[in-house]
Amino acid sequence: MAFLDNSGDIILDAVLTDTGRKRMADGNFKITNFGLGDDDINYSQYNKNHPSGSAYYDLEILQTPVLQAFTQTNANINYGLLNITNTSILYMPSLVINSKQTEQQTIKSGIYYIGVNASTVSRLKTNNSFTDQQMQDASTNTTPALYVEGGINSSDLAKTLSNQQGYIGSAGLSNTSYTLDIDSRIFTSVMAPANGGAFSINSDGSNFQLPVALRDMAGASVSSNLQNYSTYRIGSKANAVYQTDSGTAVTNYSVITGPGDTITYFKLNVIDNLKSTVTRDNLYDKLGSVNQDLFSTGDLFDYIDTMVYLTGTATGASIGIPVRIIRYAS
Amino acid sequence: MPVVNTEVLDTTSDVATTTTLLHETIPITGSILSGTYGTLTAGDNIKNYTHGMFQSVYDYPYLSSSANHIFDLTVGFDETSGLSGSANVQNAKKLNLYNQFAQVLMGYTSSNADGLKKFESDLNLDGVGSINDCFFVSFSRLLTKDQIKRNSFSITIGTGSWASPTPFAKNMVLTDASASLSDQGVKNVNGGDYAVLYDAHNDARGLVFYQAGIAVISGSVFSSASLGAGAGVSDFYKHPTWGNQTWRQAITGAAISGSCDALRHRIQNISFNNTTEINSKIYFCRVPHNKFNYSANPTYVSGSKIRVKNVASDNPVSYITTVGLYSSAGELLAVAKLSEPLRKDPTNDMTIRVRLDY
Repeated sequence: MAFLDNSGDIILDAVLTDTGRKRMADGNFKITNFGLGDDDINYSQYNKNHPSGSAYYDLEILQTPVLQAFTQTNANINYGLLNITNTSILYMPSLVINSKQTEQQTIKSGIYYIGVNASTVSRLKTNNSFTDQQMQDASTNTTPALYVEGGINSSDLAKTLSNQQGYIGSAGLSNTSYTLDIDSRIFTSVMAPANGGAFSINSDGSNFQLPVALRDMAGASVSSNLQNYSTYRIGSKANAVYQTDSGTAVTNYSVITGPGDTITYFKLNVIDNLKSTVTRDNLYDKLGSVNQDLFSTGDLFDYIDTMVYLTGTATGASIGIPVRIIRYAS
Repeated sequence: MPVVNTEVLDTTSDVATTTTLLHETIPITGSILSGTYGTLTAGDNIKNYTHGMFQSVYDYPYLSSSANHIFDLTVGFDETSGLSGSANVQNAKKLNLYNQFAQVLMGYTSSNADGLKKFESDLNLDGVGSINDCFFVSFSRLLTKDQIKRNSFSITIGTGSWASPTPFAKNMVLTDASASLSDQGVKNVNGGDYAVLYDAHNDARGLVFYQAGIAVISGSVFSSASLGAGAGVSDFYKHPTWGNQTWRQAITGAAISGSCDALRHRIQNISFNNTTEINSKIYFCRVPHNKFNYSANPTYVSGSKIRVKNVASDNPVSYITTVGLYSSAGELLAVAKLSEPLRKDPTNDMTIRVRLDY
């Protein structure tokens, strides 16, 4: 798409999306809501230190050229503007992956791995220098899982309960649930937090607890914005890791510098055809690569890379997580 | 990723339906029709068919994918015309063509023996003043769109000698100046609205059917001894075998394509305005002062701190570039992009008007 001509009056370039045209063909095209987006904007260009004064703070932003509309639904509004009416908010929760504990999956060479079967997991560990923490084992329903912690990731605010309540809870910024978008061609479902468990530590620095119980999530819906994706709504646990009285560094447990919000975690269930130790599913050919010596060990693997998106339902805070489905070939 | 916040559109106050008529001027110069892509009657932009019933005219050599179809030309006469005769070249086809156009455009009537309503040189339907022999110029929908605009049609036809460098030593301009947008000078029949094409002396020389995009040019343009064409055109067409022919000789003795060649060579220009009816739905997206001032854009925060604020009491600011229109199921059905970002903060509200045309 080209840029819109911004030399004169403000114009609107409106198109029907692919979904819109399909709905029109079906005879059920009905618009009921509107939302606003700013995907073209890079707010880091907002210069609060501009020497010419506040009138120039957003000069760069206002000169941002805007691309014409896409007809693909997921290329237009991925984040959106928020309806928060409280004007005195200074901090908004961010999402960060937490890999502090062995139950919490850690990244390996820039991507998160899922071994599709036991032989792959075994091979990765014995011959390719993987640790247990560096991959999900799709043949089990236990951790490691991907943990995402939310909160105000700023050292401006102390990691205390009162700050959590004041800056997040009372401000209506707590993401108590999340939506998880996954490629439905690769994954059948997700496992997400089960009842019980807590993410907490005593004020004296003792008794750190990490929730680990997982349960299968039902009720996926077709993603309204991403093609071939399903959307799951998953729960969370309160983030009760606060700074301790004893001086115990909570950075050993939490990746959020300031007051935390919630933590969620999940494992992804790979479709059975991709798990076979005998037959390579053609999805590996279609969506990924096959027979690759990824780690220069002589072992050949098939793999598919995909993105998983987690979004807070209250603030729209989101994180895209790159995931590699890997299968030992020979 | 789903958009977190949307506003409901009130179907009574936030949605409006309108109809707009859009007009474009369509000028067709005669040199495109004859001369530019070939010599005299031939041309790479002229397509003749083995059935020989009509001739298609393009704006560029028709074998090129860049060519656009402009119109089709054909000729016909009614069986009651003095021109009809079994010895004529393509007599049956010329009869059939007249009947087909008459049937589609004028329909049938109980007042004729054969039931067919003939073209008339006025807006009456009494059978008086029938146009029994004529050319049919059927314009492509690419040009006419939904219809030809009334009171905009004009065709200039050369009525001079074929032997001259051009036949435009004498011209006849036919227009639908008597037709108005308020239905005056227009009659509605099977083929839609039509008006009479008059020459400069106010003599009826044909008809124009607006919705059908068809002009009916009476043979009287070339055969009449009355006004405009003088004593009739003695060399209407120069037949490759038999030489100069009058209109009467050409329409009876030449093939349809020959008569079409002759008319095409004599068209100096055609001009009309087309009409496109645009039905629009306008969505008034009312953005209140206290909403949409924050963003979920990942760059909106740095270390969880909102970039556009120094202290909590600063007003939040966002910049709108996109308006998404959603179904009740949250599907993005239409999207509009602003040509430049719009600053939104709690001190302003705005209404963004998104128009979808159908």
